[in-house]
Amino acid sequence: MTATVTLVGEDGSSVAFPCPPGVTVDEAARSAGYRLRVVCARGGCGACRATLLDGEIDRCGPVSATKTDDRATGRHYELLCRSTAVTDIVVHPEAGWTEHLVRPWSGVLR
Amino acid sequence: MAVTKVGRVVLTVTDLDEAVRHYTETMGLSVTTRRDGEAYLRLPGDQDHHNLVLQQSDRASLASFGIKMSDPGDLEELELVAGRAGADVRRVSGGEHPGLGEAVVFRLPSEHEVWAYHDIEHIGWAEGMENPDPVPEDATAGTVHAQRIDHVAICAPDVGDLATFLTEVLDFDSSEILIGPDGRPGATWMYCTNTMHDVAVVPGPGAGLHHVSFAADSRAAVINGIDTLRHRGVPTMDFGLTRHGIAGVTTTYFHDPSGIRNELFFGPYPTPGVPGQVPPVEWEMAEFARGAFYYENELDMAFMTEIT
Repeated sequence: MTATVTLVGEDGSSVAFPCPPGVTVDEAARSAGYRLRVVCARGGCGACRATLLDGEIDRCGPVSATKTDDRATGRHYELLCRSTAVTDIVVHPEAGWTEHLVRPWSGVLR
Repeated sequence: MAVTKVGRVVLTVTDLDEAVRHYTETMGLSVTTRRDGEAYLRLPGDQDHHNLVLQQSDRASLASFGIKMSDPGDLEELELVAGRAGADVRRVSGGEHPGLGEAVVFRLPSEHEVWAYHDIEHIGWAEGMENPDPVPEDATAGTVHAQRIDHVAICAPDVGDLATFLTEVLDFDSSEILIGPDGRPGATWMYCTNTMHDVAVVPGPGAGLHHVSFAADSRAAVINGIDTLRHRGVPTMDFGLTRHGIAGVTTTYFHDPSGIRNELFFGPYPTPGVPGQVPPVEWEMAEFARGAFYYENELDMAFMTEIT
């Protein structure tokens, strides 16, 4: 079942888009015309770390514990490049997101 | 005392099998020893038993990197000078680790662990050491044909501090320096052999790894390598091929399956290999975007801040 992902920003702004089963939140955002900050796309660099505010995610691959658990603050993060949505989810990506000015082909097809 | 090369890079990875697959099938290394929880790999352009060690972990990181010393007596000298410089130093006995002789282990001011060694098992060229065929058996077909580990780029909370240690304790010198806003080194490219950098130092958290760089044997090999990376579904930077203004190398960056950044590049210029012979090239902050990415003339800060 296609879930709905809602991104919530620092200032309370939000956007929502569909996230089909097996598709990462990062890929779903791209298809919808949004860009998350993703660098390695392999769960290692932490660029896409986000706080899960509501719902349930699944991991589609291993992630580096250095990036999911911040020892200094004790905070736990999900890495959106390795996350698929099990239910509708609400997440706060630490680095926010941008609107992709190009209208992607994959979005047109959806 | 002299460092003859930076080698024996040890990475912790979050999926050992995937990592081995990446470094062999995509990069062109071969496994020389595989045992529980770790794998030892060698590159075709190097004669040592291993150049890269992969260890299973719950995190992706640079566990340590090695410096190969020119003389067995260097280990004792290094133990003294590194200790005098304030580093914690310990000895590792020969034979404790596959292929590796005795080692002196210490931490840099940037918290990176360095293993200094002289003896490492010599396995020679794949084509043998007697009358070898200059055209190797194509054991690396379908890979990006990485030849050697060229350098590691590591992060330091205080770049100048680490540069001083590498210069004064290990006899490195800088070929290029980015002058930071405070007039101190903001980043530096340092060598101990005849190439423009064996270690690059960029600002960032202690013990951090920016990338491990692999040498290609031509500019064309970098282009072909990018095709191979795309073919195998390895995401590269958005623009794929680029060129650094610094040293003018042709390059691409991508990540291994644990998110550790790799570089495949060609074209670093030769240096004297001994310190104090040539003054460094200096870069101003305002020109650094061009120094980093010559074609784009822009630097996405994600390249600097998102590291393992």
